[in-house]
Amino acid sequence: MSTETAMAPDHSESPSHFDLAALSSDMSESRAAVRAVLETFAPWLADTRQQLHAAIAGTEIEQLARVAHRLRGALSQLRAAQAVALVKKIEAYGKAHPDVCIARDHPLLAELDAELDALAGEVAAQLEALRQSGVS
Amino acid sequence: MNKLAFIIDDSAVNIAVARLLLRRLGWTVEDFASAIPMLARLAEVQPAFMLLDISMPDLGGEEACRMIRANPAWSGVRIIAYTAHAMEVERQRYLAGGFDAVITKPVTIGALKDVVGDAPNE
Repeated sequence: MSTETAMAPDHSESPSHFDLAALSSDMSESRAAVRAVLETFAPWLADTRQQLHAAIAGTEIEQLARVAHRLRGALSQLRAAQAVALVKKIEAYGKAHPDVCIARDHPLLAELDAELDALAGEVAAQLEALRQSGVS
Repeated sequence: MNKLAFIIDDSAVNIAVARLLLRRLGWTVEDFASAIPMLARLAEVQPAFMLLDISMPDLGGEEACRMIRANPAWSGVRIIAYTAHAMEVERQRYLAGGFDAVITKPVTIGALKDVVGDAPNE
């Protein structure tokens, strides 16, 4: 199969933490484009998570809101529904408590970290599969 | 024919997606992580349109749009809000503020094609 030919959506193979079939559809079924997006996303996610935790550690409320918003936008592009829902809850917490930074030990953050760990693992596995199948 | 498009977004992932899709539609793309360097570039070359993120540090999309619309020399540039804010009240505010259209994230090739179409032929 050419690296630019159509990738038939197969929901049975879609990872549970993001929707590969939907991302592929968004990218006009180009496996090369999907790989390019995931290769951008993987290091970006690690960096953005660091920014999120730094904002919380420093009780930087405005920075936290910006990073959370940016994170949600990228996660929505991957159709990472569970992670998007958790980030929305963190954004809602910020709107409900505009003068208080969410606590570092808030259960929502642990939930988000666990979900993002799982997402990062699945993105890495999908990238490896694309590389092994010769998609460049 | 002008085949140039700008993407302005502080998220590398959103830029990557939009860049890939616009190139598939035949557009030539320049991207910017902030509106400030985009405005400097706009003084040199004008794209047919730009995808302008709303929520950015330093200079937000709505303010950048106001600055562009205040300059008659740039009146030919279509400005498309590229945003995760999808509420109707916000959409109407963007359009009233000088944006020509709104695309919400996650973006798809269909949504882009509906708003900007294929790049013009030479």
